[in-house]
Amino acid sequence: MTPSPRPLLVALALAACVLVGTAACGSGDGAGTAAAQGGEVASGRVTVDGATIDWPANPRVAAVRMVVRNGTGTPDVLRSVSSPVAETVTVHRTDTDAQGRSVMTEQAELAIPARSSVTFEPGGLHVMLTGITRDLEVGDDVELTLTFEHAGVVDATAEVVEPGASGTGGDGSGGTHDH
Amino acid sequence: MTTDPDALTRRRFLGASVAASGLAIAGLAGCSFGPSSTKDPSIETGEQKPWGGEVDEQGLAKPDVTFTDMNGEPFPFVEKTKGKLALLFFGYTNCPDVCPVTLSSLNRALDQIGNGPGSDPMVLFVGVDIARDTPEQLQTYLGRINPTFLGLTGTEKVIAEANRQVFNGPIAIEEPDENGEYAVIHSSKVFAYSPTDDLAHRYYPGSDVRPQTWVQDLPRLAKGRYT
Ligand SMILES: [Cu+2]
Repeated sequence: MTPSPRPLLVALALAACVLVGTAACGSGDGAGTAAAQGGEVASGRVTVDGATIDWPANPRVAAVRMVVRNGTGTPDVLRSVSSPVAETVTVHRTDTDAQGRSVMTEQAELAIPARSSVTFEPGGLHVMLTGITRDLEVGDDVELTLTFEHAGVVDATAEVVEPGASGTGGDGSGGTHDH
Repeated sequence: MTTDPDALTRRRFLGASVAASGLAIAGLAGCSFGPSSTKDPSIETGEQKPWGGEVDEQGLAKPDVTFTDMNGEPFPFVEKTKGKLALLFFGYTNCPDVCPVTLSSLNRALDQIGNGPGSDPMVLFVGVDIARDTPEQLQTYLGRINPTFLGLTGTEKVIAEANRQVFNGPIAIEEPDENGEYAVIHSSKVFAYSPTDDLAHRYYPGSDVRPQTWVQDLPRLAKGRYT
């Protein structure tokens, strides 16, 4: 996880939460937290960090965790994700409903506020791969193509990791590479 | 095991007739489910680390049903789990997020615990998507995470009844997409049944549970403690 932000950054993070509302701020489950962090303020780019995939128990279904950082001054929107290894790629958020059930909702337009990051982590936001067409092994790289409203196409690589190892947020080796 | 073709129909509730009454009961239960979240906010004082999940002092009984195990054999739940630390939850093998996260979190915790109390709970995963969660599929799926985990299935009626008895919200099977893939809405709670009185005094919201929570709680749960 990211280091504890200082009070000013907490305030900024809260502001970011207010701006993006439920789209990026999980309801207390820590999912999809938007937080202003020093790193992306100056990058001037939209990047993907620490993209990982837990080696799937069901070889046909997997979830990508990552941090999407918007280092630009323009609010952006994640419109779609694709991957050559899956028939269907969907951006989802898992929530718990009033009856304690897990419900996944598609995030067709996921807001990535300016100078902020959105974390995809277990039990929260994930990029869901279904109909996976080849056997993934730990250490494999999976190509992802993210399309943003403003930043356009951003390519990223997600590394397949041991089950339960993904979602550590920005510490993995996977991430954006030059297009 | 026979597979009910109706299980694939769009956005319907598993065991619809019982589920409706289950909903009403679950609503009531929500109000009387113990003195509710007495989550220990205190930071670790000596040995007493905060507990994960939620406590239910009164304790919740086991589902009194006979599931089918991964070999296709009957699995009378109460009898088979008697006197054991048993962790029960409902999921499905095409679940991309909460189910594998919960299972792998438990597996990582067991690795860390190594041996001694709490190192060998019965982990029981009920596959609620009976069209796809066959005994064979459960065996393959759980075998890829931890071969000691036990997969259970059963008729739609049995699963819906078990789900109702633990006051889980009704299981709903979503409409398939163009590739025939579909999600199943289900409770992600993990019930921890005490080896001492066979009641669940603690339950854990699946998506919330990190390995460290299990590392702390399983050894205590194995001794029959829950507070
Ligand atoms: Cu999903």
